[in-house]
Amino acid sequence: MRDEVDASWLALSRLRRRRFKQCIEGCSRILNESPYDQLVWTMKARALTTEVYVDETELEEEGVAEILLDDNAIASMPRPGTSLSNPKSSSSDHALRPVSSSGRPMTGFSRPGSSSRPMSGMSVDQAFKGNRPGTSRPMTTLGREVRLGTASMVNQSGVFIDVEKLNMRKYAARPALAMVLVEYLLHVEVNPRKALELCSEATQKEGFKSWFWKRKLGQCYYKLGLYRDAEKQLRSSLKDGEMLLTYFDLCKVYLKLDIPNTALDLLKKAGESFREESRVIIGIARIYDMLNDLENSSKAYKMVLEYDAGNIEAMACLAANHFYEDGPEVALRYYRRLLQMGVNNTELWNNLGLSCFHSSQFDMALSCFERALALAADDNEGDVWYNIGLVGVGIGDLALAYQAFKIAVSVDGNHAESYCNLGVLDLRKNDFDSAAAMFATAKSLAPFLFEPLYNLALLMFKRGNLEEAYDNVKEALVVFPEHRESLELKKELMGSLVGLR
Amino acid sequence: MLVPGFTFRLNDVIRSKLVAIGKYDGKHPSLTFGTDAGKICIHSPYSSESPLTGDGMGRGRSKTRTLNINKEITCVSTGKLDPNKGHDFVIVGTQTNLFAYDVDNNADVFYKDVPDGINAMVVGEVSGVDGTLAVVGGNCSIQGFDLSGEEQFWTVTGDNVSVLTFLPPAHSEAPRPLLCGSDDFAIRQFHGEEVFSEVTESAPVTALVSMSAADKAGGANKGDHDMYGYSLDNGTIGVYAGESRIWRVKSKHKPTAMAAFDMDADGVPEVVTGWTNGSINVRNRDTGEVMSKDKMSGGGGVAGIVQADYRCDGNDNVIVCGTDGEVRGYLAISRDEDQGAEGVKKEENYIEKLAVKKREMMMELGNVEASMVKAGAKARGGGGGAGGVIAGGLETLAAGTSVTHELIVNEGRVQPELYISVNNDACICTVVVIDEEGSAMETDATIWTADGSSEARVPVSTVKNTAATIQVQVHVGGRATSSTLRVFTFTLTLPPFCSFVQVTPTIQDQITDNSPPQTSVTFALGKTFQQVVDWIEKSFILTDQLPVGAGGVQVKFVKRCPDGRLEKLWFQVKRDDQLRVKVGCSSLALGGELLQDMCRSLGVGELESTCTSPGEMAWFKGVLQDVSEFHKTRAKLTADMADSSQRVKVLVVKAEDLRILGEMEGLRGCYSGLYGLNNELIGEYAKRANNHAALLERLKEVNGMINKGANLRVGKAKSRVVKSCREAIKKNNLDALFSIIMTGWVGGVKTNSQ
Repeated sequence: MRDEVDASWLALSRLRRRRFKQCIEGCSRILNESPYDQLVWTMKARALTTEVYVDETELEEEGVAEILLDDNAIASMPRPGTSLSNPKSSSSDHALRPVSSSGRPMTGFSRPGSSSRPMSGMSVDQAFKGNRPGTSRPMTTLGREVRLGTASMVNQSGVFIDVEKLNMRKYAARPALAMVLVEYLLHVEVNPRKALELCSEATQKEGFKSWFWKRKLGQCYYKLGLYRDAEKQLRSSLKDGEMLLTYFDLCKVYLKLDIPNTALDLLKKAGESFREESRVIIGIARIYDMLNDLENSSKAYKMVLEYDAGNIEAMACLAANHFYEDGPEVALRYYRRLLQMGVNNTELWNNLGLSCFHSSQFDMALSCFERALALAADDNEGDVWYNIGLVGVGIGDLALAYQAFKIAVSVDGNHAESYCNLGVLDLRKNDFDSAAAMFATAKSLAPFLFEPLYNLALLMFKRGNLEEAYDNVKEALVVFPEHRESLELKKELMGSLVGLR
Repeated sequence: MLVPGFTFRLNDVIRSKLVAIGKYDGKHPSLTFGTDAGKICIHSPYSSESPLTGDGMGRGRSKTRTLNINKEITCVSTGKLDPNKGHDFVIVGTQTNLFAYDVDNNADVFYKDVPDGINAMVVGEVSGVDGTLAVVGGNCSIQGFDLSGEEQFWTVTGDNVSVLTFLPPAHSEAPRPLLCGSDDFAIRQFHGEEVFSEVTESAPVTALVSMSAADKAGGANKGDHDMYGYSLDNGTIGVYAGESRIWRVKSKHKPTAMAAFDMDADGVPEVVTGWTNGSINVRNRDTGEVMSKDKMSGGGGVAGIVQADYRCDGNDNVIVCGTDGEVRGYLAISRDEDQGAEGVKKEENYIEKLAVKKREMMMELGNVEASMVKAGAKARGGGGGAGGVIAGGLETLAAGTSVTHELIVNEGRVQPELYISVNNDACICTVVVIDEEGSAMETDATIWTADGSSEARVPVSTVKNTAATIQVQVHVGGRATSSTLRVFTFTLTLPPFCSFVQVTPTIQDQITDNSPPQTSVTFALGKTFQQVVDWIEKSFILTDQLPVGAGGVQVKFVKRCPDGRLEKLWFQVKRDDQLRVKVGCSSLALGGELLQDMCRSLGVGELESTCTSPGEMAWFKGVLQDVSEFHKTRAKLTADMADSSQRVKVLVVKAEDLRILGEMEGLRGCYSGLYGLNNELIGEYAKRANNHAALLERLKEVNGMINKGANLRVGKAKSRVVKSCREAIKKNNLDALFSIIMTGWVGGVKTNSQ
């Protein structure tokens, strides 16, 4: 029966049903017989592209190379609150809310990019370490933009399109083919240079009037790291045709250039043309988040929920904000809503558990943690045990706490917070040496936490090792300049050191 | 002596001419300067919200911030582009871009491609355009950009713009003149798109500063609104009032910065100049007399001079920045303190001057006496028949010796000559031709050794076709070998087109090609025939009578070019119901110069014209094609380089990865790959630099062509040609462009305009 169906029609149907593998196979077979069948060629290119397509509008993860070697930001030391690398700092943040390695408070939603942006100069080792110790490591080189090999290296006979031999001018004359080809070049071949060639030919053919080609030109420039050229093309594209996606592309360019205020203005302008578009508002919320402007970001998230009541990101972020602002009951409601939305993972149960615990629903809390543990994988089990440990501390069951922290470090050897808390528990047992060792471990694992540094300093001070205490308190103040206890300790230490002289 | 009110030292190099001052928070001034490696530094000692440095205790607040431009910075300026915001933006020009940035909010205002390059920038209001513009000068063009980065103003000028500044308007309704100095030694005053006046100097202009007191007092006009100071690349500084120079002085050092500041608080600004050797001079605006001076302590040159209330105490300071990062601030000297001392000083100066004069005169007297004694001795030795000092053979000149001069034409060489003769048998030893303006002749001074007869013929060769005043010194002695010479000096005004010689039968024999010149300019003139004839007589050296007939006049001129060719210029005036003038010449540029000179001296305010020049138009077409080719190549080369630099990043990180893993073999491979790639990148860069240079050259030619086209029209037509040419280039409409240059209109000649 099957042989009777027209092969091209079958391929098209498969493409529509997202059966890409089968579609590609079918197309290849037809192309072997008639290599110049443009319809089939288009379908194959589409299938290959769609298979690997990534939503470009989402923020991207920055690779090590970009973090270390790129210097795109205009201002090296901008005014606080105007740059991603120098967000507003509010003194209570560090104490109330856990921070990522860059000193940014955790948001409620794990999203790529931005969190790994360094505060200031970053060493190679730090860059390789990634966001949380031992867990994620940034992509080695240029994130996704790695070309697997140039055409000369891929010497197999079955290459679909030989990029180096393409005559771009010929393709530019056929807009339908060119549009498919440019997507293929960008997403499958990851060869923005060639795509750029095609785009510039095509945009010329269209008399510099087509928003599509200008947008693609902008994307090519963006991938090549030529942000200013990208900006120019995208702005020009917006003049020819106001498209939401072009706004997002342009916004990405501005974030790379570290001028978030310009990006915010742009998104607000987009919001005027595209009213009630939740993606624009969530973009605004994300930028406020990156700038540590929690008030405005919560406002934006709430607005997102007004238009799109099922937006998981907005809910998660609002929940986290409420939780850290002493509203665990409200946070609990958001988390329950998330559960209704069908999210069912360790992190959510874990957060539910914590919210329950803080709103005094102890019976619920432990069962939530049980669920979290049941769903947990190796990379997040440590966090759950750590939180169980916190519950233990909270209810005064120090033995449970000690055990939970121990399990946390055994599951995740890099769990610095657990080491720190183990140290504190050791202190209570008057086991000073062990405590000092615990703090030191935590300090080496996560230099961005001020707690182990302060604890170590305090311990050293109590034991009379003034010099080491002074060194540690100094480091603690670098991480968290407004920490009052550290400041007091430092003052006292200064007094003692001057007295010694 | 000038005593600094404050000095401090910055840790960064300050690039010459890249100094500006701006109030980025609307209140406190911040010193902004360009430094090495494409960075802008902002020194703001008062800004309350300067960022935390994060070092040590995290309490120290840094006073300098840097902006990465990552391109070679060519100029920096600040200004309130947005009238709704009270603070300044910083505006940075690079070789290909203009970038406006809101420092306080860390946000872009605009980022604009300017292929013509940016050599000079000024922020202000241009007459004819609403709102504040960032006016940038590049390759033969001046562009004005508004807040959104849109081009609101465009005009052409003769050469690379080197400096721009605004003059205060003559009265509140008058247009605000834009002063532009360029590499062809000219200082032009623009009113809108149109050149209002033009003076020519002797070297590229490096600085222009309005010297008007009205600028400070806010419109209180004291008749000095058109005074400005200038400095040149050859070490000259001076002051102009309108088109007439008030004073100038020359130094062996080069002036790098200039500012107008009222140092002695008398309501009249002084000229503050900074030099390459680090000295700072304050000169009187009206006399050029040095009032006080100082020197940078570090030994570096002066990078820039700005003025602001940098101590925030209500008094403006002059801030002088040295190239090595030294910053000195000077306060205005309050007048009453130094009154007495100043008076005494003035008297002393006067006595000094008189003493110098006395010494000079004493020396002269001594010389004369010595030669008298010598002459007397000789006369006595010679037998003393005739007696007296005026005897023949004596070295002294006869009384009543005078020199006459005349501009004539050497028909054999087809060149004008200066014929100088003495009225008796004295000998002309040398003739020195001094070109003070430095504009007309090839060199500033030419020394011509005569053959010792009583007459001399000095060939005159001018470079530019402008009326020039030259000074001639004639050294006359009693004999050719006399050691005592008398100097006769006179000044001579050359007609603007003196190097063109009327064709006479003798010259006609030398002309091989008798066809009419390819380029021709035709226009109708609303003046009387006699006026035109008068103008021809005034502007050329005529050897024959003008062949004036009833139908008009036709006259041919030729010029001997330095390479020996003969350049033709045919001039034809027809009398119909109105005068129709046809100029046949070798280039549109020459036609334009002729037309402009004629209109200026005849007082023609508006003029349309048509021209044909197949040769130049074909060449122009080639240039435009080249431009688009170069643009395309440039885009491709940029993409290639960006691609390669991505690969560099990959290799560097990979190598670092391998180093951490301790795998030295792979590390070596990575680095050798990196080495190859690096060489490749350097090669690519060289290619791109060449391409860019060639592109700039071509763009300059395009702008030059528009300028030529504009020069063939006068008044409104001229600005219209400039505007519509720009439109045509933007739209890439080449046919329209050619039509505009040839006829002045987009779609050919409009009949009703005639």
